[in-house]
Order: sequence, then C-alpha cells, then structure tokens
Amino acid sequence: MVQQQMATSTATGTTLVEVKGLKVHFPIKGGLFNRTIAHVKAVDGVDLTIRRGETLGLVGESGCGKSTTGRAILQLIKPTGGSVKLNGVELTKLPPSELRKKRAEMQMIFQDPFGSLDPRFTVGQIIAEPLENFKRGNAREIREQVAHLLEVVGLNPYYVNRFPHEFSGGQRQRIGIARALALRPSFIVADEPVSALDVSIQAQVVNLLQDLQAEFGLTYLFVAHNLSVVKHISDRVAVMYLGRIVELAESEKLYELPLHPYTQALLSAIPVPDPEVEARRKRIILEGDVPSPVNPPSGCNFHPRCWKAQQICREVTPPLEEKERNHYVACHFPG
Amino acid sequence: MDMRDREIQPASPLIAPDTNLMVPAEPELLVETPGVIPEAEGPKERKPVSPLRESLRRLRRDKRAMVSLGVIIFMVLLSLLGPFIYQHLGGIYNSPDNGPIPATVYRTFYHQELSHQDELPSAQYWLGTDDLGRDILARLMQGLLVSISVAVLVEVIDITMGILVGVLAGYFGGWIDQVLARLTDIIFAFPGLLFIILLTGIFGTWADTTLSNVPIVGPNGNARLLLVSAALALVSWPLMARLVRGQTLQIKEQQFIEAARTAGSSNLKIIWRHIIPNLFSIVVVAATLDISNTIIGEASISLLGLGVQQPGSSLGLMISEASNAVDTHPWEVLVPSVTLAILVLAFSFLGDGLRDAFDPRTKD
Amino acid sequence: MPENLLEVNNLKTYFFTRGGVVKAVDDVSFTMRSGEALGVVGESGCGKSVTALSIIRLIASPPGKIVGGEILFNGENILEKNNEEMTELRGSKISMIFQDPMTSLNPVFTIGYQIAETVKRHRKGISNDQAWQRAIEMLDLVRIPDARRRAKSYPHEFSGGMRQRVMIAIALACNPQLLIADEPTTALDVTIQAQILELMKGLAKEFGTALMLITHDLGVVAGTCEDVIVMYAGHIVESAPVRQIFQTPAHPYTIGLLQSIPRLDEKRGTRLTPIPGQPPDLSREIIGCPYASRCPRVQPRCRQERPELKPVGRGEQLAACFYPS
Repeated sequence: MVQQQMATSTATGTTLVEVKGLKVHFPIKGGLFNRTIAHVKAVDGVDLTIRRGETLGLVGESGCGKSTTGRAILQLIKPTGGSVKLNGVELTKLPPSELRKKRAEMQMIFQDPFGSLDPRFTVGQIIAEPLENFKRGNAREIREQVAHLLEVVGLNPYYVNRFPHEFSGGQRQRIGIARALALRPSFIVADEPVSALDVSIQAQVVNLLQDLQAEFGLTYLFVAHNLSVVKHISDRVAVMYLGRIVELAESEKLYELPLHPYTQALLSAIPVPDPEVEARRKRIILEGDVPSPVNPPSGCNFHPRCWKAQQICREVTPPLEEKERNHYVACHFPG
Repeated sequence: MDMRDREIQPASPLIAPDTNLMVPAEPELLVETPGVIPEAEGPKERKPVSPLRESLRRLRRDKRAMVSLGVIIFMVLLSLLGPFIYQHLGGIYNSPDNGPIPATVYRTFYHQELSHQDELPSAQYWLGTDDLGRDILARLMQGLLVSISVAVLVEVIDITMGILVGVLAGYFGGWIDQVLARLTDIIFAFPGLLFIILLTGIFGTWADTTLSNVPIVGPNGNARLLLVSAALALVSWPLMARLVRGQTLQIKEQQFIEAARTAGSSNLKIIWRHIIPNLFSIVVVAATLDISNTIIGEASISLLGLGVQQPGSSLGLMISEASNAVDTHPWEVLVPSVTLAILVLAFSFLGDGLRDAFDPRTKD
Repeated sequence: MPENLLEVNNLKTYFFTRGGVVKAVDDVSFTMRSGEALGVVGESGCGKSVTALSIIRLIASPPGKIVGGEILFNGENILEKNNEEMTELRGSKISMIFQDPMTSLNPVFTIGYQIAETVKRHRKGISNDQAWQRAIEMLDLVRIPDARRRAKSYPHEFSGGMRQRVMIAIALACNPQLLIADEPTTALDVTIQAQILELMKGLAKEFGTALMLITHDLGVVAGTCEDVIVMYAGHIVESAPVRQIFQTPAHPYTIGLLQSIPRLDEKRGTRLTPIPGQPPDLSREIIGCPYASRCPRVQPRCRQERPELKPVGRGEQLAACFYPS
C-alpha cells in the first residue's frame, strides 16, 4: 500500500496534510491550589495544506510556535483545538491505539543529534525500534533492513553495533534520519534538522534530505529558524509570528516580494555572506522583543513592532488571505 | 542518620561569577573530538563501547572505590563463609564447665564459655571473648551477616518501590504524583529514626511471637530482622521514589523519548526500554550511598535494644552490650565499632566512586 | 605607542586530556590594529574560542595550557603578566562577551549593580553614586529603554537580547581597547541578532574599541568586520580583508565553506556543495596540511608537509596552502 502511494505521490500534488484552525494552548499552573491561571497560546489558529511530494518550510523566531505546530500535526502534543487530516484521516480524534498505527505514515527528524538518540541503545537497536513496533519482519529481516537504511543515509553498516556517543553530530543526525525512514513514511516533519550542525556538515545533511525526498517521494514539513536554509530546501514557505501564520507563498516569491512587514524585517535581518551586498542593503531593524504568547497583543499581534501600524491593526485581527495567486498574507496593509 | 543527605544533586552552578569574564562551561574543542569515527576510514577492529562499560572503566581507575569494593567483598565473604572456616580450624577444647567440645560449639556466636569471660585475643578466640564468654569473632561475623542482609533486603524493597512509584509518578503525574509528594512530606517532617523506633517498638513483640511462627521465617530472630528491614525501607523508599521521579521527569523531556513515541512505541515499552535503563546509574549510586545509612540505622536500632535480640548478634547489639564495660574492656567496643565504621565508609566511598564514574561531566 | 594593538605570535594552546594532547590552537599568529573589527570564523573545534580565551588568559587549567608563543597587547606580553595584573587588565583594557547571555549575569544582583561593580573595580576612587550614574549611562547607550528604572531590575526580568545588551554595557563600561565577542548572537533570533550587531558595530566605532568577533556565521562577518581570519583544526588557514575573503577566497577550505552555505539571493534549484568528511581528530598527530583529507585539490605534497601562512599575491591576503586559487 505504501508503495502505491509513493508511485502516485510525486506527480499529482494533491493534498497530503490538511490543518485547519490548529490551536495549542499550554496551561500555566500556579497559585495556592495549583489552578490554571493563564494559557500560553503557543499555536493560535493555524491553517495549512501540505501537498504530496512538496517541502513546506515553516519559519519564525524562537517562541513563535513553529516546533509546536510540527508536533501538534504529528499528535505528539495534543492540540487544544482544530483539525489535522493526513490522507483524509482525521488524526485529532483517533484513539491512541489507532494513532499508533498511523505513526508508520508520519515520522519526525529531530533537532538535537545528541538528545534524540537513546545513549544506551546501539545504532542498530535505534533504527530497529520502529521496525519491531510494526512487526516488519523477523529478526534477520529487520537486521537486513537496518543495514540497508544505514547505507541509504550514507553510513557504513559495519557500525551497526556502535553507540551514539561514538559518532559525530552529523553522523548522529544521519542515524536519526535512518530511523525516520525505517517505516517508509509518506510525511516527515523535520524540526530544525541542521541547526545544531556545523556549516560544512549542514550542507551534507540538506543534500541528503533532498536526495531522499526524490528517491522515496517524501513530503516534508521543514521547520527552522534559518531562512536561508529554509528557502534553499522548500517549495513553499510559511512564516509564523506569535502562534499564527502571517505569510505563505512559494519560496522564490516570498523572498523576492515579501508582503507582510514582519517577513520583510525578517528577511532584511539575515546576514548575507557577501560584503558588497551587505554594504548596499537597507536593514529594517525591528524595535523591541517578541511579546509574550501568554498575553498576545490585540488585533494583529505584530502591531507593537510594526512601522505601518494603524488604528485598525490594534483592533482587528487580519485573516490570512490570498492577495496574489498562491501568495497568502495576514496584514491590513500588505506590500 | 540523616537520610536527607543522600540525595544526589547535580552540581549546577546556580550562581554565576559576578563579572562578564566567565569561562564557558566547556571549551568548544571538547565537544566532539576523541572517539569519533572518521567517515573516510574503513572499518576498524575496535569494540563498540557502551556507556555502561565506559563508566565501569572509569570506576576501575578509581583506587579508593576499588579498595572499598575489595573491603565490601571481603566482608561479605567473611560473613558467609567465615564461620565455617573458623570453626573448621579449631580443635577440641576441654571446657571446665561443659567437658570436651569441638570448635563448632565454642566458636559459635551464641555459645557461652563462662570460664573465658572478657578475654583478649588468643589462639582459641582470635578476637577474644565478651562478658559472657562468647567468641567475639564469631559474633562479629554473625553481626556482619545481619548488617549485610538487612542492607540487601532494604535496598531491594527501596529500589523496587522507588522505581515503581517514582517512574509512574514522574511519567504519568496525576494522583500517584500527589500521593508520593505527600508521603515524602510526611517522611521529611518526621524524624526517620524516631519513626523506626516507634514501629519496631510497637510491632516488636508481635514479630517475636506471631511472625516467628510463620514457617519460612522461623525463630532465631529472623522475624526481628525482617521487621527492622521493613521499618528502614519504609522511611527510605519514598526518598528513592522522589529521586527517581525527578530523574524520570528529566529523561521524559529528552528527545529520544519523543522519538520512541514517533516510532510507535507504547508507554509501557518506553518506560521499560528507555526510561528504566537510563535510571540505572542514578539508582545504583543512590542505593550504594543509602546502604551506609541503612547499616547505621540497623546498628542504631539494635543499640537501642529494638533490633536483633539476644542471643542473636548484630554490630549494634555488640556495641551496646560492650559499652557498659567500655572503661575496663575497651577492646570489646572497639572491634564492632571499627568494623562498622570500615563497612560504612567502604559503601560511602564506593558510592562516591560510582557517582563520579557515571557522571558524564567527569569524563576525561 | 606600538603600531599594533594586539600581536599574537606563534600561539600554542594545548589541552592535556586522557585521550591525548589536543592541539586546540597550534602556531597561530595575527595582528590587530586599534579600532579594527576582526572576524574570526571557523567551525566548532577549530580553535577560535580557545584563541580568544588565550588572549584574555582564561584557559581552564588543567587540562588547558598555553605552551608557546607570545601575545603582545600594547607591546607588552600578556603571557608574562601575573594574575593580579591580568585581573586588572580584564574588564578595563580587554573585555569579553560570551554566547550565552543567560548564565553570564549573576541572578541575585540587579543589572545596575553589576555594571557599577565593574566600573568600581577598575576605577579607583570613584564614588558609589558616580558608578551608578555610569551604569545608567551605559544602559542608555545600549538602548535599553527607561534605563534609570531598568537598572534596578534583575537579570530574569530581561529577555535574551536585552541581557546581551547588558553584557555589552558591562564590557564597554570601562572604555576597553579591545572587545572580544565570542558568538555573541548565536543564541539569539535573527531580528535580535541584527539589533545587537548594529549596536556593537556602532559602539565600537564610537568608543574606538577594537572588536574581535568570533563566529561560525560567514554572513555576520560579511556585514560587521573589516578583516577576517579563517581557522581550521587549530590553524589559521586564511586571512584577508573581508572583501577578498568573499570575492577571491584562496584557501580550498574557505571556498568550501562559502559553497556549502545556502544564500538568500541564490536561484532556486541550486545544489549545495558540501565539504566531504569531517574535521580531523586534534588529539592525533596531523602530518601535512590539516585539510588534506577533505580537500578537492589535494596533492601528494599536502600530505607530507604543512603549508605556512604566506601572501597569495593580492595585497594583504594570506593563505596556508601550497596550491591556492
């Protein structure tokens, strides 16, 4: 069945993941009786569709809710509200046992190459864990699959009995990728997969992710704060600010003609490794810090830092609308 | 016996130095240098090193810990095999009171040879005799057996309950967590030793009579031993559980737990394969350090006359009996006291060594 | 007055670990003029931070030790100074800020107090009042709004970016001649990074402070520094004015680094060219060029002798390569 999906996946560009009104609110407990006194609105109404075979980039600064969004889509964090559909199946209402079965189709690549591998497991045991859970063959078959997976991610199967601490950061990240691939998923959330790695190693992993996508017809949600990397790998990019998506467009388009003031500021803040360009370009330096998601500003939650803000921005939350073809933006005064 | 001391606190530098000239915790180069497998090179004949093996290797280099381990092993062997060897080595003795008796009689911890009271070491009694003419070495070995049995029994209960409750409380939270929190509060608010004294005082007679009639337990003071162990374990397991709970909370936040969930592992499997193995080191260290407390605890209870009863023996009981005549026969107090001190120190040192060996920060 | 503010000659800082001697910094030489902004780039473990810590003499010892070379600051060898003289020097003439603004401040004292303390330590005879005024002045300077009130706040009341501003205020409070910033913006978000870089650049100019910016991010260097040093495996492999590094890189490692990072202004569909393999294990003896095992232009000679840092015929550009491009 998985094989069939792959065959059809790349060409069509039909919807694989559909997210509607996703909300994740974390309670803050406190006071005398440990009551909930407030909520951190980490994700506050996110709509996304991810097409089969594409890479959707999700960028934003720390605390904007991008990682939480990725985890809520995979149901690693229970969403407070909204709907997530994978292949048309509603995930938020699945009972735990059904959800576990569904995990074979959706996997995750983690940020931390040190913390995401159990230090007491060998590489072989780490990659075999999902295969054992889903009974993909007997012990010998699983061993063969593990060896093959190691080869696929560019590691020597000889090292199958080694422990994670014997590998470098880049190699560990490859192990994590092999584990994510083990069940032949159709959808992978990559949460900052290269941000913990050195630049020369980052490129190796980025290329590997692209190669694997082509080979296995994968669909990625690529979550990262590094816009250069996101732009490089993504077909479309969504920009998040304080729990909401403020702009979504094809990556070329977004970088050439950002419509939301926040996107513009974000793009201008990224240093370009070219002194000529750096000398020429105008920087938009945003004032102040990102407000707390416990008590987000009214209306458009970017208004306190926005140089275009008007009265309406303080009062009315702008909806995410298609301003140009395939270019969505949530702003009263885009452009 | 302060049970609060044995908690293992990670040495966190809470307060930073006051200037802007702080040295970062670790120079950048130490992050990933030795042992990394070069990609370019072909397979090399090198055994994979598991974290446990790595720790044991570090432990082996710790001289103080290894000497302590040697002392502990010696004491265990002494208490188990010592009596047989000791009795085997002695000849027939013509007692003025009891006639000719073999060493299997006069070198027991309970035989009273009234013609040999308060003697210093001799060929017949290697460590002398006490005020009732009993062989001190024999009593010492029996006392050690009691101390060690109690320690093992207490730690078994401690670890089992500690992990069971601690992991459940840490992993699932909820009411188990609440109950554990209140239990530890009570233990903290109530002096542990006083609690144990109360327990052994109340149930002492019951143990001597009713419990001793249970076939497996039998007489010979085993019932008392069980009672003391149970009392000691009762005050120590909630602390172990609290420690385990804290550690579980930490491990639970690690990404590999999330990865396991993504891989479709059930909660039970995650606990069994990921959480508990990663608790191993901290539990072993805590239990080893706790043995010192347990041994002192048992000795204290026996010293107060609430533990093992005559004619049984225990280090605490020996000290208690001999302390009446400490002016005239200091030797009889010295032998069990020094043995107790050595045993307690050995476990403390071993615990410290284990902690250093398991702590990744002490990696060379 | 000597010509160079800082002159590092043949610096060697080794770490003596159980796994062997790690030559973290091995024969490193460079100079800095007063007021210059120098970028030091390289990947983790290349020795850039250890170089900085050597200059300010904060190498954890053991296991670290400066085993050779000299560091001339205003013509005086820092390595010959005793601890008291070093303490005097640090914070007043040379300051340093670190990557993590969370742990660099003492949580139990107010921000203002911590700045005032630094001022008092280095300026004998200054009154408490004057020190406090200076603290507020500095907070104003690093653009912390409402400095008079905020000086009485504790570090936990500040965000990461604000704390890094405070660190800069402390570092600059005594008008140092040299400010060493070790990955000052790595822990911060891009928009905050832009604020902090702008601020550091501006203040260094205003105070005439030389800035040594250590980073792994070539983009940061491009917009902030005048000169760049590229380090690899404990050695300087290339050193040049910033434009030349980016336009005509000479060392294969510099070229490799530039090709392996995605750029915002690149065309869609371009593929990154990663550097194969990974940096060498510094606890082992490296014969020849340390980059030889990853270099696309490697020749037999590269594996036998180590190339010296020498001019490559474009003015001030130096590279440690037998076959520079």
